[in-house]
Amino acid sequence: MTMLLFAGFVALILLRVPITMAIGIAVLSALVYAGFADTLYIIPLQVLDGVDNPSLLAIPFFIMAGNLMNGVGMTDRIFNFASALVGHMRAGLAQVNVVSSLLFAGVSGAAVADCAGLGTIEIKAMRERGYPAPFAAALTAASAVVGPIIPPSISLVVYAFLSNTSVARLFLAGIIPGIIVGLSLMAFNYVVALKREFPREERKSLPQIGRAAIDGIAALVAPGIILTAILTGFTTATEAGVLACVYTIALGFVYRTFSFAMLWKALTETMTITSVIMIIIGFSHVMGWLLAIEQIPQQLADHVLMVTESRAVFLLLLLAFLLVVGCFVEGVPAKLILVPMLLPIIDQFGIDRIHFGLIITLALLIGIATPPMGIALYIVAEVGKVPFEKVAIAILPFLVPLIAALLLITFVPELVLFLPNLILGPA
Amino acid sequence: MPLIDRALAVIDRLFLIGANAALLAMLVTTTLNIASRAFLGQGVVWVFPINIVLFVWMTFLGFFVVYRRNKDITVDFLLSAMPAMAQRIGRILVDLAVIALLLIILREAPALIQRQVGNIEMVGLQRYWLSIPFFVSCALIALQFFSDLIHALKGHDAPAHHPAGDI
Repeated sequence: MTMLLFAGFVALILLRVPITMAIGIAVLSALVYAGFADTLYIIPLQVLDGVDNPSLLAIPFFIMAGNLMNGVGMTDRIFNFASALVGHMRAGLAQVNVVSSLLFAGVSGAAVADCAGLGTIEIKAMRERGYPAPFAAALTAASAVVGPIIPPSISLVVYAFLSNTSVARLFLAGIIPGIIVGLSLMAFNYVVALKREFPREERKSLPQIGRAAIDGIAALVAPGIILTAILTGFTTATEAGVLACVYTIALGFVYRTFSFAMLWKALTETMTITSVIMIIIGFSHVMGWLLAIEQIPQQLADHVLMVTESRAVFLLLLLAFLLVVGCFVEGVPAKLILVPMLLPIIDQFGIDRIHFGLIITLALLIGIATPPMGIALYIVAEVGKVPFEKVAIAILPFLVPLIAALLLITFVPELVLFLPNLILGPA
Repeated sequence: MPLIDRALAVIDRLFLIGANAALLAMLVTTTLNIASRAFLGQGVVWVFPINIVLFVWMTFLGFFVVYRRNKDITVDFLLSAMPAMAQRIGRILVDLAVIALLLIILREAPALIQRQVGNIEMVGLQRYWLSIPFFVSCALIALQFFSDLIHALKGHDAPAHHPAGDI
């Protein structure tokens, strides 16, 4: 049954069956094989059960916050502020690219909003200053990985739902790893710049930095609003997402950039991405139900423990596996299938679920920047007008700092757990 | 086929408006709830249950819009590397498989609807109203894939694919 389920799923997605339908068809076959042919109403029942879930209500609002930020023009201000801060460094605009993504990540919960919004500005600016277009596009895709690590994060909300962990704890746990990913990319830019003589921008005076900060302060305040609202208990995660949206719309009025056409576009983009995610969650819920009924996760845990009892070896094998999966399957469906399977093993090895949440999120996220399925590569190739093949080659060196950051986060759990334990107390 | 295509295009527009309206309503009512709690000291009790219904409806109305606009995630690299005939056969097989899945789901609709009894608290609707947009979207998506099947059999090109993107 398990072979039929997973081999069927892989064969179907390779045949270009849309991922939701591939899960549905694989599950249908497995249900019939497992003797549930007379109770196939389980499929729509479980889909509805997966979608009708209050803990996932935050998803659309964290997506919308990023789309609205792009719509009201905050991305330009974020870029200008980052430029004033780090533009004078070696490979100035490349560093600005990473810092802009870090700042934008504090508002948006999705990587795609980073690529599509900031990416357009960043790639254009870097090309004009003489950076090779594939390098600029590849860096933009790599730095978008930061988005769903730094709170707010839709990816972490989904993981919280799957693993029965606290969203607030996961959000706090993502801050240091997000900064580490950003710093590793900046260090890589520096090393590349030593060889390739990338231009530096003029160093800005303190008053100029101050003006850029005032201009961009509105965006910098947003993450503080979201985190404070959740941590103080003033709002739920969903309400914090709504606050971020309302705040951004208010900024649109202040900057006179708000329009109903912009709002409609943001609503449409948000609704589309949310529907894709939620329908995948719905169909994966059927798969999860079937796996639980057949006790597959427990069997898998027993098998893994027979292979190795070393936590370090297990983590290395896990990372290799997740990186390969991330190359071919998008993060959310991969997580929906893998988390319920892996949690019993994680628990047996005594790995903290919050720590594992960040490991699996980052490992699968790296997949958005790896060919052949990296969605970020497709987006930056489109917005940057760079051939996909060139971006796919240019991204490869950027995988070194991303994987180095992943290894650091995996083998030094304190980097993940320090902030949640400090602020919320040990779990 | 042009008639089905035109009808699906109109329904796509209506579903898009419905799904976006549901999302906007969630935004407005939740804002109202936060404001009420902050300034009046008490929340609006009906906001949460209504938002759950709106969220489910938005998702299921969006389900059809996603497929109508080719926004679901697909893995293209293998089939794209194949000759045109293999791609065409692949497309026909995919259409048939998806139509079969959706018809089986639709066959189960009466059984599920019968089980979803009782009012949704504070909303007043019967529980089966949550799943009705799902079944309607399934039927429309089956029609969409049927239309694509006819186009594929006639040798027409597949529509461009625009995935919604990862998170």
